[in-house]
Amino acid sequence: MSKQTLIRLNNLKKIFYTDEVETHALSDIQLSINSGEFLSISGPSGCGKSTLLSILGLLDTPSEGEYVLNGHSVVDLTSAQRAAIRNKEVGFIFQSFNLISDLTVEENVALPLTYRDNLKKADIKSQVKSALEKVDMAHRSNHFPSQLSGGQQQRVAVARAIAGNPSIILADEPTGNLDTKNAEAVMQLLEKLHSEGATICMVTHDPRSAERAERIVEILDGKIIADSITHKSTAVA
Amino acid sequence: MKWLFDLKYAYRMLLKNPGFSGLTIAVMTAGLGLCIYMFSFIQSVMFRPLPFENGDKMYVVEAEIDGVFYNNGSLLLHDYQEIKQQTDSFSIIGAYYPSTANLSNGDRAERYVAVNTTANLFDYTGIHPIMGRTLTPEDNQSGAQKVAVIGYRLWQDYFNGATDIIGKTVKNNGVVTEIVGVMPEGFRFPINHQVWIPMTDDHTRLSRTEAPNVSGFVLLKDDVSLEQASQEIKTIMTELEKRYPETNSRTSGYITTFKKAVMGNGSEMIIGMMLTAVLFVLILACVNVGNLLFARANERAKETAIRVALGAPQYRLIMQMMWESVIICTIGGLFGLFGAAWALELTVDTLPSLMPMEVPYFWTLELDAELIAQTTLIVLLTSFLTGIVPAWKMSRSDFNAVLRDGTRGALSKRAGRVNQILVIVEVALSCVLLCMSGVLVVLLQEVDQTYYGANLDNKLKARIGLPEISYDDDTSKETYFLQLLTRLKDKPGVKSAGAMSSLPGEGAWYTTFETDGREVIENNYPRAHLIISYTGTMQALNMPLVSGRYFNINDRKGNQRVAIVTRSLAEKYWPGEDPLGKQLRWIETDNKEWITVVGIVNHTIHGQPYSMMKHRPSIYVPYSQQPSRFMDLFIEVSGNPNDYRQVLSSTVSSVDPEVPAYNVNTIDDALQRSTGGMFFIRSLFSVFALCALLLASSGIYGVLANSTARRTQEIGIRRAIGASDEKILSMMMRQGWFQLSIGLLFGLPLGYLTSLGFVQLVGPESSNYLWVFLFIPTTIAIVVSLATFFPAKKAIQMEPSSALRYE
Ligand SMILES: Nc1ncnc2c1ncn2[C@@H]1O[C@H](COP(=O)(O)OP(=O)(O)OP(=O)(O)O)[C@@H](O)[C@H]1O
Ligand SMILES: [Mg+2]
Repeated sequence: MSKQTLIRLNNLKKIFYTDEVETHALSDIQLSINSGEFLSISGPSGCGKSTLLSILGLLDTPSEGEYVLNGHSVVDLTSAQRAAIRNKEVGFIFQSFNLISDLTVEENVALPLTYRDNLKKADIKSQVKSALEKVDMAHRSNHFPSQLSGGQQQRVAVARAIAGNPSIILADEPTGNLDTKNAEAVMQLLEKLHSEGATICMVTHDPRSAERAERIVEILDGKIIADSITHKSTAVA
Repeated sequence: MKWLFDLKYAYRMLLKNPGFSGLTIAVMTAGLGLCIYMFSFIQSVMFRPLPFENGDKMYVVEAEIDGVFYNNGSLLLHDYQEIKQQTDSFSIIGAYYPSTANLSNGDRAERYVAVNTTANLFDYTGIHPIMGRTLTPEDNQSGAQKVAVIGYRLWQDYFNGATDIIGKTVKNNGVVTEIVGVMPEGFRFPINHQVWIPMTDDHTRLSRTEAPNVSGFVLLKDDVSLEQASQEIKTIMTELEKRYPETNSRTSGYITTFKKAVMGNGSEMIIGMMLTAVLFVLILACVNVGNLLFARANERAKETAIRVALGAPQYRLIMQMMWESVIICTIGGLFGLFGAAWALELTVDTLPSLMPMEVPYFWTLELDAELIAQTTLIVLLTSFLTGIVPAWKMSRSDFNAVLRDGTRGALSKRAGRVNQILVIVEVALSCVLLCMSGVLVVLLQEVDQTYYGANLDNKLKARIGLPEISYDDDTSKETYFLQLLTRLKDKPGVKSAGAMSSLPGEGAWYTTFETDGREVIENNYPRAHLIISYTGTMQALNMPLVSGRYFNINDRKGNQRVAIVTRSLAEKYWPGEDPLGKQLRWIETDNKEWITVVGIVNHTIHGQPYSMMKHRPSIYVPYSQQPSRFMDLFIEVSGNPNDYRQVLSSTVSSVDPEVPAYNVNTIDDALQRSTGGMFFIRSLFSVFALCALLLASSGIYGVLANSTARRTQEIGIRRAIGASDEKILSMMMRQGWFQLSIGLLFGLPLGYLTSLGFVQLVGPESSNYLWVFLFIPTTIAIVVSLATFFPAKKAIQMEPSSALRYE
């Protein structure tokens, strides 16, 4: 497993300005993520986990600081360049699945691929098929999201996140809306992806879920207060 | 093929919401249909070049008197010759004047519309005869053998399509004339003519007062602009005005397309207003659909945010949303095209009954490839306009916030502002359109009740033109009309009969005169309508005498020359004096004897009852002192005048079988036709205004219902903390009224300004039309109030608890 640095955050800050109130959502964040890592971010509500994930996924820009992804600084990019990187390098999994209800399972998974240039229809089809097979949802490709259970929807969301072979999968509370059984299935799926080499960064409240990552970053009031390796990490290593 | 993916999705979304799709498509159909119809109509009657090889370079030169454009032969032959010699702007220049061809072959007399023309008219159009030849310069020599080229329809109707027609002779206005050529079907140049006769008038042998009036037809050289040519003509005419004040006082020239000449004065303004109106309807439609799409885009904010998170490029996001408007506008455009085609057909069917003359051959009202291409362009444009705002706004919204918590907080504020602007725009635009059509309705109400200065009810009229050859002296003309009128009066059911060179409501010769004792400044002669009236006619028409007397049998040639003038003329030229006994004389005619005023009648209107014509004074002279070959004949009958058509025609041919009665019609119908164009325009504007009102009210309702629905939660909270229903209702109504006031603030002045054109054109006597500017805002206020009230009421009828859960 390669130990290349995939992401490096340096002195990263995020301040929200609303009606003359400044919210320091993140301050002085130093963080490196190597490719192939399975990292979990935890902390109390409102500490800035989602904000950090948004910045990692280029959905939001830091107020200050450095963000190097794959060796390139990504803080000063145009929105079009950021969209292109999101499309190629990042796969998102949300707490509330966020599938598009008017697209079929297959179309939902294909969606990020349709945003790429020069991909052939056949290639898209095969990539979608293999992604759906990985999450064991291939038999439901023509269903609409409303016809699936919550767990199944989240598995489709995972398939969508991995369909484009991103450098990193960002998951914000992926099990938050699921019961224990379905949550377990999704966690196993993430572990499986990790074992196949995927880099995963997951936000979670649940200490038991956090334990399943190799590394836990704890945040409090916008600052990283702990960064520890779990036993899992050693086990794999 | 990516776009196919997006297209499929857009299609699916439209199928999923049939109500939404149906509404938006209906709105676009209305907007685009009206637009296509109007475009096609205007292009056909006004702008598309004539269907000849050099159609885009073909213009007509006519005279302009007192700033009013005349057409169909208004330029003095001598002036035309001067223009021909002095200009260098035209590669072909020729002249024609309209005339009538009374064809007779012994047993059958028929009247056709003819032109006397220079021979180059045929080269000018580039159209060859299907049989025989066209005219040659030799035919134009005075004294040349009389020949004529005839049209296809005449050949078929009058000569039954005889194949040996070339070389045959027919009597035209009593003169033996040889048919030398037959033109192909559809050739009616210049307007709807069927006989082409060589013009033999020689300006070198005629005085300016004897010469006929002509129209100049010209082919503009490639390197000369219309403005240059126009300037050249104006300069020449100004010079001529100085040299020949008797004939050219206040006269200038103008050059225009044949189509515009037919449309006449004020048509460009009306066309401009029509285009504005139809554009407004289209904008309203776009605003409506745009707003509906925007509301939908708002509902789908979450979905858009997901797409953004997945790295959708902005152009794809915009395209995604544009596809829907493309589909809506394309289907709307297709339906609109069908609707427009249907409306054009309807127009073709109804126009002949609205026009005072035959519909010009070049009014080809139909869908053609060009129009379909234009429609495609308009559809693309409207797709863009309706789609771009929602798409742009959505693709730039704060997607991160949407993704985080699913509320629409960040969007509602922006949506609110856009909604407010939309309501204001809809109020303003519909206000302008409603004002325009409202003003037209009121103005034409007045036009409809115009008093022409005579009783024109229950009358049937006809035009009589005596052939020069058999009626070359005054006695023969007088005898003819004496006989004719006597015979007509004897017919059962006929109460009275009379003849006038042109009846009230008909256009008349507007010519120069001078009054005794009144200095003519710089040869700027006054003008008045010169009308020749047969003795007894003014009584038969109930033209009320203000003072003096009517014409009587003593007003003969040799006796004192007399005239009856309208009160308007007397007041203008002899203010505060007794006009009876005053003297005047004509400038432009040969006979320069002084004429004594013996009677005053009320003002009469000759021509259309619009500002340009209706205030012109008139001078009536007795037929016995100034006989004319061309007269309007009428009979007053008991019962339906239409039942007397046969009686009139047969009586006319009983006096002289070679003289047909033409343009036989009731005076009522003729008057209606003379203003028919305006009433047609009023119908169009009423349709525009109705569409505008429907679009605006549904649009405003949609916008307000939407924004109220978005605020359901807010309203629930307000009520939960104790706001009364009345408070909330009045809060919402106040917001509606605020937008209403802003919209009216723009719409009302704009509506007033745009309606002013109509007011100037018609020149109403009363200012009743001003009520429109009170009535229309009131109507719109009621509509907006209702559109605000119902959604607001719905919101306050909801239980506060469920309103709070509403999302
Ligand atoms: N768009 C915004 N505008 C203003 N403040 C914001 C915005 N987004 C986040 N915040 C603030 O930043 C801080 C961090 O929020 P964030 O959503 O990252 O918390 P979190 O750790 O994900 O919490 P939770 O576990 O409840 O999801 C909070 O104080 C929040 O109020
Ligand atoms: Mg969060």
